[in-house]
Amino acid sequence: MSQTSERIREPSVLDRVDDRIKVLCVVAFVAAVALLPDGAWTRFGALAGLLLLAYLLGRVPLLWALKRLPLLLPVFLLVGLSAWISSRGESGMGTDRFLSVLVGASMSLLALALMAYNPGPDNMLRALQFYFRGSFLVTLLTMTHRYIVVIVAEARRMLRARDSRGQPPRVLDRARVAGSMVGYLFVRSLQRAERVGHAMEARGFTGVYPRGRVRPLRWTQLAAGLTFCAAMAAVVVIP
Amino acid sequence: MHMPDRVLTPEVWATLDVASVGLVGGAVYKTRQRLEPRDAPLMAVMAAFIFAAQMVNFPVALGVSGHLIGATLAAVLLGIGPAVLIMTAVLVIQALVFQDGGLMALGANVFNLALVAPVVGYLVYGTVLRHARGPASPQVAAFLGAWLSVVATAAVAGIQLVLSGYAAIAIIPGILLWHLAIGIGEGLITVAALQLVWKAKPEMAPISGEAEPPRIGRTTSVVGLLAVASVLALALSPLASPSPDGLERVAHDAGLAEEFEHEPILPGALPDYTTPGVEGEAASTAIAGVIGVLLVLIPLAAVVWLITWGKGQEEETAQDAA
Repeated sequence: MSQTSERIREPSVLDRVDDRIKVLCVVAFVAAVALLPDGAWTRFGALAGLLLLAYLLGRVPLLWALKRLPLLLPVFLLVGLSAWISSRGESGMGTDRFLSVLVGASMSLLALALMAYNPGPDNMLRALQFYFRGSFLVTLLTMTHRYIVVIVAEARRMLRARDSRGQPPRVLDRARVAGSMVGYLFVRSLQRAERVGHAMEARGFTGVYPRGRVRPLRWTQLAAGLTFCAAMAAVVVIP
Repeated sequence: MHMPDRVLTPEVWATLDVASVGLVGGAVYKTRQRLEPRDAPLMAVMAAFIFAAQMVNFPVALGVSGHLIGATLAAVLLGIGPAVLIMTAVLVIQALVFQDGGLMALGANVFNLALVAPVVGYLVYGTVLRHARGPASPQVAAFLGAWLSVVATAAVAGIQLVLSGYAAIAIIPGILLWHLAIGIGEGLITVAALQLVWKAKPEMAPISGEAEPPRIGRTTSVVGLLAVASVLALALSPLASPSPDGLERVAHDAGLAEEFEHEPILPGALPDYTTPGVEGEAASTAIAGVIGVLLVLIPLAAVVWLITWGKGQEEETAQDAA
């Protein structure tokens, strides 16, 4: 992926911001988008401008992020169909509500895509470890993210092999084959999990990541992050 | 379907966020009491497995493909507590890393897919397995568990959308009917996966192997199944037809309807499938549907309970003696 090479070439403005502050700001931004009233277009516009600025400052490829938007298609269809059905009655959903879902959900997704690009999943999870120190769930998330790469690669190999052989003609048989593949993947994953578990225990793993020395947040960065959060609260509260 | 942000109103997503934090926190506490250090990476690899298993799709028709959700599979193979944590980890990773599902809506997604789905799947699996006899009973139990887990999850998600005002009530039965079909795929894949696992690892099989069958008490079964039935009744209530039934229609066509119309001696508790005092036709019908389900099932459950009570005690005494 190009993100690593780009960051090595020349750090962007966004790279200079502490990852923990970036995570905090994205959460505040998404909360603000989710809390805005329907049809508050000026405030939606202000937040969209802010998001675009972050993309530009971080030199994040917008096209790459926009390719994630089709994930929202089923929900848009559902809400759109509902809007159409209810518009025939007296209590219509209204265009404002439908468009607010459309715009708000897209902005939220683009903000999360930005966080997945910069600081990236590993640094994001490290930031979560800072905020929820000693949390079993965050330890689980971190390890899950690590093993997803391995298990998904195995699943992809199995899918490639199945597709090269061809699928059975009947849907029931296709479902059975998919189920057998899932079962086989489980057995392989379980064997791997047992090996990993014993190896980690042998290296002194106690169930959660140890609370090592944590780099403190610089007060300027913290102040900037908190100011951003206050600005987001103001956008929601002040009409 | 993972809900993105803004599809639910703040009141709904905030309530579900708080509920999910509490319930998943409880699952973490309960599960960690039994865990050894090496179980944490084991659960992480299993969460990665569920994530990968959701990629294993199969073509259905017209370019549509089906894939596993995996909540029931995880619950049957690993137990309910680990299944809740594993599904939660998968959903958080999907939201944060792959933008599949919103951040504020994460509580709703966790509630539906990491709590409702494995709990319903495990409850149905455990209940059927406890009562069914025969060599294929684990497969039947797993199929029903997986199928109903998908249907119940869709019903709960539909109710959340309606409560938020972002989906018309009329659309919920459509969602549910669609998921009745999707659930069949989930059931088939779950059974095929379990068959392979039980064959490769016979010690994990519930009847012949060493694996403990699910410990689901009779009260939990009854209360849980009543809750599932109520949610389904609530979601299907818009299908209740306002048209007269056959006899009423004939009476109307023959001009006899007015002749027979009079004030009832005893007014019905839920006249014409409506709840007195509840405004709004849809809400009134929905509540009447839930009350109707409970009125039918509670006495039925009580009768079954009375019939099987003595038998249960005999079995327990026999087990103690053995």
